[in-house]
Amino acid sequence: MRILIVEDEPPIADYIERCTRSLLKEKIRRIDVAYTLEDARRHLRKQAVDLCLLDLNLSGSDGYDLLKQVLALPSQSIIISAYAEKAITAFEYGVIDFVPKPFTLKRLQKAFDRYLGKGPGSSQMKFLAYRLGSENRLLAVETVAFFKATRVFVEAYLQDGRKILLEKHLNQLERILPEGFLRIHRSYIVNISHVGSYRHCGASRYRLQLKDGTFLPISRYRYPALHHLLKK
Amino acid sequence: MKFLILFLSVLPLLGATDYTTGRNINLSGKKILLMDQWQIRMGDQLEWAVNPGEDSSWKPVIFKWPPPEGDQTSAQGNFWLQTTITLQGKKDETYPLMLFFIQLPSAFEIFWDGIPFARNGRVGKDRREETPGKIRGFILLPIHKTTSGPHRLSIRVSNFHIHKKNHDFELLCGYSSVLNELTSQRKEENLLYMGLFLTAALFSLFLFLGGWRYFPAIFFSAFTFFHFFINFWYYLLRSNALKVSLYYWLNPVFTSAGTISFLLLNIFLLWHLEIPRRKVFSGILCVSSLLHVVSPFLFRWEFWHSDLIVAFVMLALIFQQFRRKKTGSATALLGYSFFLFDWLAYLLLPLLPVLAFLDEPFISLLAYSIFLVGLMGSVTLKMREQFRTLDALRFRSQRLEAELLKKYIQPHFIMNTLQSIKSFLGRDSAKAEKLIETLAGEFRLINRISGEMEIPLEEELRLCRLHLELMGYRRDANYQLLTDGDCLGFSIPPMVLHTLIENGLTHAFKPKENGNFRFHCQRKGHKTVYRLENDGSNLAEMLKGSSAHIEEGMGMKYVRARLAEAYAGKWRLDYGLARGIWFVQIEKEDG
Repeated sequence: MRILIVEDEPPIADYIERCTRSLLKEKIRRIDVAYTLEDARRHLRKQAVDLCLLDLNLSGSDGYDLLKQVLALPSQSIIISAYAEKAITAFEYGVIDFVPKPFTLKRLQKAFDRYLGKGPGSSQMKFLAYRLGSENRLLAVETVAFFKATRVFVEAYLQDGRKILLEKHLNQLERILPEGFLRIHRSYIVNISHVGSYRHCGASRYRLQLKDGTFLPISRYRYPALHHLLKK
Repeated sequence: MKFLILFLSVLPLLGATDYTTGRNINLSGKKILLMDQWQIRMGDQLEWAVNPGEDSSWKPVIFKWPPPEGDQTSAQGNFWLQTTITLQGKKDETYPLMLFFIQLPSAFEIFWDGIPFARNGRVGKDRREETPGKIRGFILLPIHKTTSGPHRLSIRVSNFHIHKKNHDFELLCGYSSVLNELTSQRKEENLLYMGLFLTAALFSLFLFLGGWRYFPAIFFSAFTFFHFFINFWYYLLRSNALKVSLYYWLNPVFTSAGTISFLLLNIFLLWHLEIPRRKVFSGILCVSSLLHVVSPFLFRWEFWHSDLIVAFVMLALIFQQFRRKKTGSATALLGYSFFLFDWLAYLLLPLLPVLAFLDEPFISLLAYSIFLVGLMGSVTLKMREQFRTLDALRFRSQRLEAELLKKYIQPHFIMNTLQSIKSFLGRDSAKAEKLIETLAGEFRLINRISGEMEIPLEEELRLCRLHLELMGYRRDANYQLLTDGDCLGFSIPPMVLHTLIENGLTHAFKPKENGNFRFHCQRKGHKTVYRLENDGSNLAEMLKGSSAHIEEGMGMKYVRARLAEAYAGKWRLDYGLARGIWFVQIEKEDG
């Protein structure tokens, strides 16, 4: 794991690093610390990062811009901040967890568990960050009809017919997407509210039709979950 | 202008009573005779009183405005005037007949049918020999000689002390009861106006001095003081106590005072109603007033028409502000309209027969009262608006104070500090302990001072040092606050420097970057200057080579609100980059 700690108070940054090392041990490939947003941006441009531990208020600057940048990359983010009132917004941006300061080792462990897929995911996400040229933009999750895994990243197919490339993996997305999105295939996650119908096509083949007429395949072993959810 | 004033002061006298011109006076009526048809003879022979000589040696002269070319009545030297008055009808024996003169030449003696019966000053053959008389006065006609029929009135004149062109005089003849009543009435009006203007002057002066310092009020106060003195001048004049020489010395001063007072009134309105381009208008008005004052002396023509033009332009400007719903403009418009109405009443009243039953002095008094009440009401409304603004400012300041306190006491600050303490625990417990002590010290001090309007500067600096120590632990850096100058005895609103230091720490210094703050306090004349500098690299780097400016955040708004509350318009806040050093400078005026 390549971890970036963004924190403007050196003793705290040092403490987070010590805690992270003691919790993730050999999973860590490297840990870097950035004291300013500018340092963090510079680092993100040069180095691939798997997990960013980010303070939202650095030297009077708002960390949301950096958060958008991090989340538009194939990275995940955990916020460690004293600004607990910003937790809801952070979750809407799609962060893995929000750890309020002062934190305990146990609380940090819980956040890492979420990142590693061991804990329950967040269900409050409202936006997805993506890059368009050099600009980081936000996409409202509810406007997405389905996500499709491509060879490298993921394509979001919007209800209005547009298609947006997200620098994420489908597994990462599955962990952070809110309720109402279901993985129906190894390459597809669908917005349930956009499903028109689904049926068994024989020979263990299942198919789903969206309200706009698009057909999507359903994995055999994911069909029961879909069936259960839509019946409910 | 002089003639205008004279004309206006005599006109009501004439307007209120029937008067005639010419040479006949009917003794059965109450008419006043304005004697305007005279004969003049240059030179001085006492025998001309009894034996005027041939008619050809006397030239006819009519007193009128403007004086005709070659007018000899204002010439320096000696001359005689004579006219014939015909008394007709039955004489009222209760009251004697009288002459009332205004601005006759320096000194004169009057003869009735060749008999000398009165004099004003002493007639002389040169300036040294002449003693000037009074500018106005009554002369009783000899009772036993005022019989029906024609009478010759001769005036022996010497005119050495005043020989200015364009002086004009009036000579009226009538019963003492009528003449006295009319002149005393004008005197009483002057007394009334003196009271009215003095009250307004003191009211607006106290408004200015009463701690509020609303500077347009001082212009209004000066205007009303000028009017008080102008009325005082006319009161003296109508008391018939002024000597000719003194009058001619002082009259230009008081005539100019009228112009200056009008200028002050207009400047007051320009600034009071915040009329756009008021500086330009003020400049134009000053030039116009200057021309008005000096033109009779320099160019030998008068500029009085400009006053009327200015008055209408001002009325239009006030009306414009009224349409823009400027505070106090409605009452100011009402007041100014009545001011103008009084000015033009002489022209307007004949056009408004409905008002014919009203007495002219009554209209004038009513108009001036409405004018003064309108303008004072306008000032009061403006003050009320400013009080409301101050209240809003105080409220905002209190809110900001609460927000700022919340900022330091609310979870963010405490949680981050607690996290720092936690980071030190186990590794550097002594530092953790020190951090707890500093945090407690800072909170104790903030709680004590935050509700004050001003606190001693030393106390504020102590708070800043505590905060720097605390932040030094948190950001793993060493911050120093150095002071220049003698800061003893100075005071400052609480947490102003503290907020500026916090701003500096947040924006100017990178984590782990050591730094210095330098505070300088200095007296400059009637000002106190506080200057806070820091050598942080971050802000300077951010601004270097760019036109970027710092957007003011909550901290700076708090500082401005605190300064506005404590120093009400007598402060100034500047900040920026000077020679690579970031500075914030506060200037406050005394008082």
